[in-house]
Amino acid sequence: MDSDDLALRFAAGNPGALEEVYAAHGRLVFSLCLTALRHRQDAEDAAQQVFTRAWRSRESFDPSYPVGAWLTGITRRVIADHLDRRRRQQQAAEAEVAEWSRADQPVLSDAVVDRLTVTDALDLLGPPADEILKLVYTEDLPHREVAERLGMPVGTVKSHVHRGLARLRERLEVRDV
Amino acid sequence: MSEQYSPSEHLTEDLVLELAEQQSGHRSASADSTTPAARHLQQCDSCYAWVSDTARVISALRPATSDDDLVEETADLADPPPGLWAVIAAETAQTRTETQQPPAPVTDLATRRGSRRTWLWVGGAAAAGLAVGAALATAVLGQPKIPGEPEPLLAGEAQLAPVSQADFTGEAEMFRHADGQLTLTVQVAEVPAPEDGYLELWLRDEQASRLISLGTVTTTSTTVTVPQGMDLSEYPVVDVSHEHYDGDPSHSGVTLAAGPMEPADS
Repeated sequence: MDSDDLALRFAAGNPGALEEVYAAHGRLVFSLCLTALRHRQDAEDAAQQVFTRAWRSRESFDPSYPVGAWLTGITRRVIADHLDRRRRQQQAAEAEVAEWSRADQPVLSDAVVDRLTVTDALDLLGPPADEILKLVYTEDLPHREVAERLGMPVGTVKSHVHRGLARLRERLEVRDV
Repeated sequence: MSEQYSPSEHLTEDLVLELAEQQSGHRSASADSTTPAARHLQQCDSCYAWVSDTARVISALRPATSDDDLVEETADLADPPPGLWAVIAAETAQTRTETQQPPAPVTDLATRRGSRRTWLWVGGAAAAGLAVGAALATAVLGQPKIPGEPEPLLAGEAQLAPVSQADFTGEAEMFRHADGQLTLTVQVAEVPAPEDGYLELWLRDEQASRLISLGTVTTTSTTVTVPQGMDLSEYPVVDVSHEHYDGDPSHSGVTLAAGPMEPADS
């Protein structure tokens, strides 16, 4: 399924589009929630809210923008709401020790969001690009050695690196700099 | 590599990769800000973004080092539970299918504010407790007092529309007894074979973020007691879920049918 087409159908409120968006991004959204909230039930609630909120605000979604990156933005806001609520409950329960809980609260750093986003996208990239990118950047092997291992010309490895990185780049959350 | 490069031209793909690998720490950096490529980056937003986005991808691919906070933060992918989609589907059912089918009653509450308010009154009556319960219900619902025999009054009913199983329907009726006790009788089209798990009956809010389990449903007609003191206005939806014998007391996420409780016609 062409992802641009999915973005358009989603924005137009096509009935099947939400399920496809969930199939493509459910794992990343849930993983972000679990990483930030460290609580399975809370993460399930949050992930559910992300998709219902996304569906309800689909009219504000710009289909020229990647759906995944937009969902990550919503995920951050839902997580912030959860942490806020948790903080307020904790403060109400133990007003005197409220301060430490703030510092102790897990956060979703940009580096963590990027790592989860890229790991998720790498899986979807499929062979041999996923394997090549892992060998080059995670295992830190020179292109020549990767080429020997996989039995392909160095030029092919290089072009997989370029194309693979380009595909992963498209999935990154858009941030204001 | 960058020797022949002029700062007025956009960077080549190879040069972008080289700079991004330096920026991410994959390749040792020259730290020379006077090279033509570095000068071009200072004035070209699109090449700058191209390099920095590529560097973000490469950083994310590299193993976590002790310099960054990733060592302490676990950042592993985790598959969502299998029932999560069903909850989202139920939650968005009305708007997703409105072009194809009439809206499912489960999300129809917003358009029935009037009846919801009445139901809230019934909820208030439930919270009011044992002694005044029956009298209050009669007054609120405007039903004639039945002389003599204290028959339970029908306080509300719900039509349960299919959610994750197309042909699964049911209905629920809430009765108020003379002693103020509320019971909920649910009738479903079928129950699963014992090896396929069991059904569980819930009262919940529209978002399915707050749920109270009323017990298991193992026959096609089951009556359960609604806890005294429960504020029914906060749990206006009747939900029948499919559960497995997994020891997990929470909702499986698979709602077979659900519908809003409506106050009984007076």
